[in-house]
Amino acid sequence: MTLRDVRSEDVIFRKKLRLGLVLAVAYTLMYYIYFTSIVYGGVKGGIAVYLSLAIILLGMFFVWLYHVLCKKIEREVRV
Amino acid sequence: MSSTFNVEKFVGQFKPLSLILFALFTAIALWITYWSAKRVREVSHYYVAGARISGFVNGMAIAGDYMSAASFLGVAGLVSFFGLDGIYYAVGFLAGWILALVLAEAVRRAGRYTAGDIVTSTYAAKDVTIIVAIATICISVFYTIPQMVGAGSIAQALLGIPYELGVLIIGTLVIIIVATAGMVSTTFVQFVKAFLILAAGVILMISAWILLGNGSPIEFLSKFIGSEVSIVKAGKSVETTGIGFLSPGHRFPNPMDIISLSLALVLGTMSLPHILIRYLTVPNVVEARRSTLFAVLAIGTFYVATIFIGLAAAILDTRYYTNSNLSAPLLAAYVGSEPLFAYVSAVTFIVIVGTVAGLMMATAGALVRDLLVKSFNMRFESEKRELIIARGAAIAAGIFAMVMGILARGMNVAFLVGLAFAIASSSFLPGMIASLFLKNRVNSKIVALSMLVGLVSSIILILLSPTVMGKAAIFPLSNPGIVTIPLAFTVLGIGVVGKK
Repeated sequence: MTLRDVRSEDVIFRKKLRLGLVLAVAYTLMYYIYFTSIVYGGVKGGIAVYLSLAIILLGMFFVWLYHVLCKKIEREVRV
Repeated sequence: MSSTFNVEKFVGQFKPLSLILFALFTAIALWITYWSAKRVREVSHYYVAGARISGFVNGMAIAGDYMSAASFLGVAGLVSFFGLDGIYYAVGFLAGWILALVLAEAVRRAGRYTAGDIVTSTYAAKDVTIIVAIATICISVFYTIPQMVGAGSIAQALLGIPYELGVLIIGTLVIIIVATAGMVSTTFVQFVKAFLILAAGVILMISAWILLGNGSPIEFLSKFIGSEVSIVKAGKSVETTGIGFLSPGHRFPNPMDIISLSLALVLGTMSLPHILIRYLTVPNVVEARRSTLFAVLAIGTFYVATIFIGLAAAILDTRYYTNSNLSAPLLAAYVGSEPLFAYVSAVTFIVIVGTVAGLMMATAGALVRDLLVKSFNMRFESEKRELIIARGAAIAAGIFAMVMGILARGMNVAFLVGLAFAIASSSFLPGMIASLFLKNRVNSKIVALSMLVGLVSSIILILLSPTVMGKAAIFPLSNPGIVTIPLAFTVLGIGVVGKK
């Protein structure tokens, strides 16, 4: 592995970490908004169940999105 | 909506078909163990399967590890008894995976054999290694107890065999799997188990949609909202409406309790040692990321299923009022009669084997690598010798799990898992964050102190909580996460500021 390779791997790692942080913070915020709306906001019944399902599906989507964007980062930096 | 379903026909009765299916799954697990045993020649094979597992297999194995008896029986049961307060668990268990986006690849870079390596790769001081080992063992014990309790209650209620015998069967099977081929057999047992339990969850969910919503989840929920449903409190059914059932406060009247639990679930998932060591079994960071993707897709689908299973069990009243853990298998009996009931019972039983095997691997690694090798500087004359010691540690951990399983009879399994998450997020997470992202900004004494504060405070507050002390509780919350997590991170933060 050349010095250039090491540097590009480091850049990839940092970019992916930043991306992961942004997505994780965004999701956590949404999770706590969901949470607060039920515990303190009086949301209940079918809407509460739909919101719960949406938060689960959104979590799956975020992980998939992270995977796709990471592949893009790896491709771009290595080129 | 009520049904004339007779739960007594299925609970506590000897079921030959369930036992035959369980014997079949056990035979598959033992064959995997026999096949794997030939592949374990070095220490790295035993602890981390030689770091040669693909992202897909590891992702499904992570899912298999995570989709435990507590998830399947406990969460579905809590939803069927308490509605929305049970759904929080399903959402929280999945939401915690979002931290994997930040931690998974860094964990793979830092770790070698054990979860403790992730912390000690930066902070190798003796005080840190000892606390890391103790924290790993404590978390694994708190996570193992509910699994073994689940094993005993399923054995008794669904297979018709005594509670203690169920615990002994599971414990023995786990010891064989872990002591023979370590992480190789554990991985493949968890891989197979993931598909079995996912199939059980999806079959039950779709059956519920067909039965109550003409195949549509939206129609299912509409019907649920418009129906009379009962909440189960203290073993008694209390009638309410669909909307009343899906209102918060049936299990946690104090909102702070829910916030504390959610904090522990979100921050605890990626701090569980048996999950962290799974990331050390893949060859590189790309496979670690792929592992997360497959794991989260499987786990997300599973938790969507547990919500619908719990709601269907409530509306059809396939609940055993004195044991919330039986709602899912009894729903299987309702929708698919004896064959589906037998499948779900046998799968749930084998699911525990996979989860406990993962926990025993984490415990054995902590005992041998973190405690003996790193903390007490013990050196083994050969790899073969270390393998023997590691296998001995796994057997000891398995026996301990069996004893604890028998002593903790009668506890709700999902609830106890919530406590394991609180300990993990209060003790392991500060150490991991310091090791992976703070490096030289804080010294090892502070890292050890923050982990110790998190560990000790969470155990003390659990002992003072309503979970242990009932109405005489000194600490009002069931889950201590809201106090202990900020406390541990405050100590770490003071260390960072102090070093500047």
